[in-house]
Amino acid sequence: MAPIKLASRICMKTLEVKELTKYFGKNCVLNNVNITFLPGEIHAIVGENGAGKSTLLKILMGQFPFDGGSISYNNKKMIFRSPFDAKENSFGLVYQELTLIREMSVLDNLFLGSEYTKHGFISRKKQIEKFDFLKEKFQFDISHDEPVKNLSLSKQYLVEVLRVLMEDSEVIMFDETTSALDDDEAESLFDIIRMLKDSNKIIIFISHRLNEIFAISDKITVLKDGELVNTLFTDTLTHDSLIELMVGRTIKDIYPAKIKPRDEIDFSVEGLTTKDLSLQNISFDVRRGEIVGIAGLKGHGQNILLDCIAGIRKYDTGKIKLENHLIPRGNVRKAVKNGIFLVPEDRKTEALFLNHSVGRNLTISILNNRYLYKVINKKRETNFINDSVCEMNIKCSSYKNMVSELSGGNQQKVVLGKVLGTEPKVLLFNEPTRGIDVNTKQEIMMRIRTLSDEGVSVIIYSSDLLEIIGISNTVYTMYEGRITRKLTDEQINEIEIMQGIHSGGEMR
Amino acid sequence: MTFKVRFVNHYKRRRDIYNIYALLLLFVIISSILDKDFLTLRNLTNIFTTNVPFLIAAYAQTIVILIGGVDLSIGACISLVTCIMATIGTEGGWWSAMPGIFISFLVCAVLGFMKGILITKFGIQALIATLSISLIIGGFSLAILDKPGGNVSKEFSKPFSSDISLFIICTIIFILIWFMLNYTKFGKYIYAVGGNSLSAYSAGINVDVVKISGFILSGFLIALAGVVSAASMRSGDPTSGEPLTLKSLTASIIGGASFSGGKGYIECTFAGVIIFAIINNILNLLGVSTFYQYIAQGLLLIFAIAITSIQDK
Repeated sequence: MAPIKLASRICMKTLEVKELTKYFGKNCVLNNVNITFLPGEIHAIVGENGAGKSTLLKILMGQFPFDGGSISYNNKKMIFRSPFDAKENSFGLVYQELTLIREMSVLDNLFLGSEYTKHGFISRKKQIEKFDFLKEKFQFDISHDEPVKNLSLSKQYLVEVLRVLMEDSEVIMFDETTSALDDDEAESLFDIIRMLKDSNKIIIFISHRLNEIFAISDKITVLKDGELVNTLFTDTLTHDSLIELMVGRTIKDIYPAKIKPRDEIDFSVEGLTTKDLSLQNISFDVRRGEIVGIAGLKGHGQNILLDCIAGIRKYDTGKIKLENHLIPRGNVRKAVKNGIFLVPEDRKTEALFLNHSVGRNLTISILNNRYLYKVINKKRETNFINDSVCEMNIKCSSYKNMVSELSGGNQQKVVLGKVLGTEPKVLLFNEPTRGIDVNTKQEIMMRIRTLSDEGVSVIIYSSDLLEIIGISNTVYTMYEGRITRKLTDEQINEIEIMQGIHSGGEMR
Repeated sequence: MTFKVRFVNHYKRRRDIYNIYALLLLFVIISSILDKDFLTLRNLTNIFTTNVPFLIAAYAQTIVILIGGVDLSIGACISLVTCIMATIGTEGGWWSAMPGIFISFLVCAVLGFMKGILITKFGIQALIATLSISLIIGGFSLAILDKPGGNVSKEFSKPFSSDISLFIICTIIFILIWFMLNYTKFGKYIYAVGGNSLSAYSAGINVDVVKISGFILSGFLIALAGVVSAASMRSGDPTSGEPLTLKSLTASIIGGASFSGGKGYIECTFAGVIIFAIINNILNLLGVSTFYQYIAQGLLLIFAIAITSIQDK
């Protein structure tokens, strides 16, 4: 493409959002928002949960109508009635949650809704040609015949991205696409995004991981409670100043100060090994009230380790001891009885009953604590629920609200509240803050810290390294199912951890 | 890529299809060991021709299951069609049956449309919607023909009693459905809507239209099954279709179709029907009482569902 032509395109094809306003019932979720998106620019939108980021994208994608203001692209007013309408006008959105159809092949998924046809029938040949062209261009390794369910999570996301790329969209939006990916996977996604930037697309990017935003974006727009706070060049901001803009006040540190744990060893894992070698000779001790962080790239055994400790999965050799007391393997009921609880990664499917009330979710695992003559006592139950809603600061108009109506952060608080009600001794967290805004994240971290002060031992795995660094007393890095490093105190920093999770360097 | 790797990959992708045909082969081998009359041309033809309405009904069921539904009114609809066929144009040449056929197809299409509307627009679960439709149709069938009887034109039913024409009908239907599911947009949309209707919606597919059309298409197949059934019985029967509801469901499930939708193959349903038919046939040949045949069918269904859910784990 000639440079002059390129320049003229930059002048032309901007996307302008003017005085955009949107109500849900009486709630104003977007109020007078003005943003201009330029081609060849990666524009990040940040804000807490409920700030209106996702709503903005959904309006741009035609999923929601808007109540006031205007959207114009290329100097033309746009009003999309459906996602299909938006697609026709070269708008594309990569969703936060996977929208692929698992049973269908990669090819069928990619061309769904925009099949290539010949005489009214689907032309596989043409589709495969296009697929190979994309494969050449973006350098990925996926077979077009493979059913999506056979692909790894990161590849599934890649397919999701490809689906948008295929349409030759000019405006490409990413709604927390990276929240399920680990750093390496996210990095390969960024390579693709940068490639798109070079070909002069408008890119809108939402993420809760501030590191990523600083790494990739050119401009950052901050939203708060549906209002525009500011749009700034990324270079002019620092981590702290951005957080300040997002929350409207200064958070010195998201993470509370670390307190030295007690000396007695409370919980220990000895030589945990599975037959398929996804875990190899894992041993570590946890002192009472200690927070142990597990760091590792996705798929190096961290999930399996937590599942084994919680009794969800079986291991083949090794021992788990709590207060010198052997915990039987592969038995969730026994583990729970002994006070070992897992807060799973996917709260929606593994931890909550979405279509039940907040109250019922809070009480479900320990109904008998509020027995009176072997029958659940309504009054005790209501008291307990009110206490934990209050204590956990769960934002809901009544405990009778469905959990599905709450935001992600509040849902996670319900999970936490449920687990705390059982008076645990060892708490396992798998990605406790995935998809949660900064403020709630801090609340949850504070909560975990107070728990450890009260003498609960905590084992936490997160793909967000800062989180691990911020909260842990001790960090173990995992690589290919083995523990590669044990880090304490000043050793806990990004460099040490990165070395541990990227190489098979032996334990020190 | 070596040949072995390619083969393994190919197998992984098409595992469901290979497994069901391996199972079919196993049943054929077992049956031919159990009874020497099993593997005769006459018996095999017999298995096929007596089960043509069943086969077509199973296709109809599979399509509905693929879009994430289930149809409990298939049997009742087939009974209704036989009643219509046995009361309209009973005498005369083959053309005298034409009005009956036309009405049958129309009625089944309209019923399919109604089921689709109830499910999509009124948000009634497929199970409940089709069950109620089934009761209503049952009443209508009895109103038309209160006991088995009536007559279907001899000239018309003749071709349906010949093996060759039944074979041709089945082949054509199979190819049409297979082609539709694999090479048309509508086919892909059926899988998409059943697999994840939200994703399908965001891909710009009109989910409701696909569901309703699926039920209408299934209605046409049901009508065809009814016509073949009436022609082979040469009469109508308000209850003749009843067993086909559960049989069609069983065959689809044996074939690996998933109740959650979006998973299943027409070629597997075919194998499912044949496995089902072989089991009944071999039990007949061995002189086992019909009562035990039901038990065998039930066990087969449990076996099939267990296999698929273990595989999914």
